[in-house]
Amino acid sequence: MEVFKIVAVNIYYMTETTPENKHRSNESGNFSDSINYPLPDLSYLVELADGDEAFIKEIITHFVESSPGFLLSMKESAMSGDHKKLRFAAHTLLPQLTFVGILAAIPYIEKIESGDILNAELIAELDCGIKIINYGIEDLKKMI
Amino acid sequence: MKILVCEDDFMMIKAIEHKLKSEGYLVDVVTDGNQAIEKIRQGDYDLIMTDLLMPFVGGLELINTVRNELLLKMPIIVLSRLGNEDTIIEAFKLGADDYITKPFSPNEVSIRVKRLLIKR
Repeated sequence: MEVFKIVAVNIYYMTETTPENKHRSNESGNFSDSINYPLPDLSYLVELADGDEAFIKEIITHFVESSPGFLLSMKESAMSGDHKKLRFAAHTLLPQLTFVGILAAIPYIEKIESGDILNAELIAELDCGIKIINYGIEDLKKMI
Repeated sequence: MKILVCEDDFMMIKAIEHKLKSEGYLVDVVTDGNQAIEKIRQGDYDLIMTDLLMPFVGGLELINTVRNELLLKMPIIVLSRLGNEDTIIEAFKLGADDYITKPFSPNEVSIRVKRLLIKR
């Protein structure tokens, strides 16, 4: 029944918390650096799992464990100007964000994938996306 | 029924494998085009499901090899992200039978696979 616990926790956070509670603050508690975004939406993953809780845990665990290194690699590609590698990484990351429900990061990563933005704007968009994904990772860790 | 899945993304592999196995299919997975060609030469697959972007040999080259070198006729489903319309069209020209956009709906995978296997 643990899959229902995961879904129940997810639904609680999405429906019971106020918009203010969904803001994230930096370490000092200062909301000046907050980004307003919803918590991970696991409904797609739950649909895929069709009751298999081990499947859900496997997907979330894989994402939580592999993403930090992957995001670091993306940042390095952006800083070194390897846009082809960065766009391919964005292409790979996008479906994963859907799987784990970090949907708020998708517009930022889609811009990276498109290759339509460069330089300072590219770095800014990537940083926003990474920040949201990192928050999502912390939320996902609480769910498993 | 035996299906070969050619995909290099861990989550996508797990999701497709999970769905197909729950429907009773035998599933083999490879993570690059070279492995796929080797498996196809050795095995007897009823359907191939392939990503377009893979290491070494990509999906388009794989489809071309299956249809024009190996002369095999099993159904081929392409897995693709939205926005790859030109590549999908090229895949159809080379001999793909259908495509599924990622991220996919589990029911869509089920229906599209069944539809092609019934025809076969």
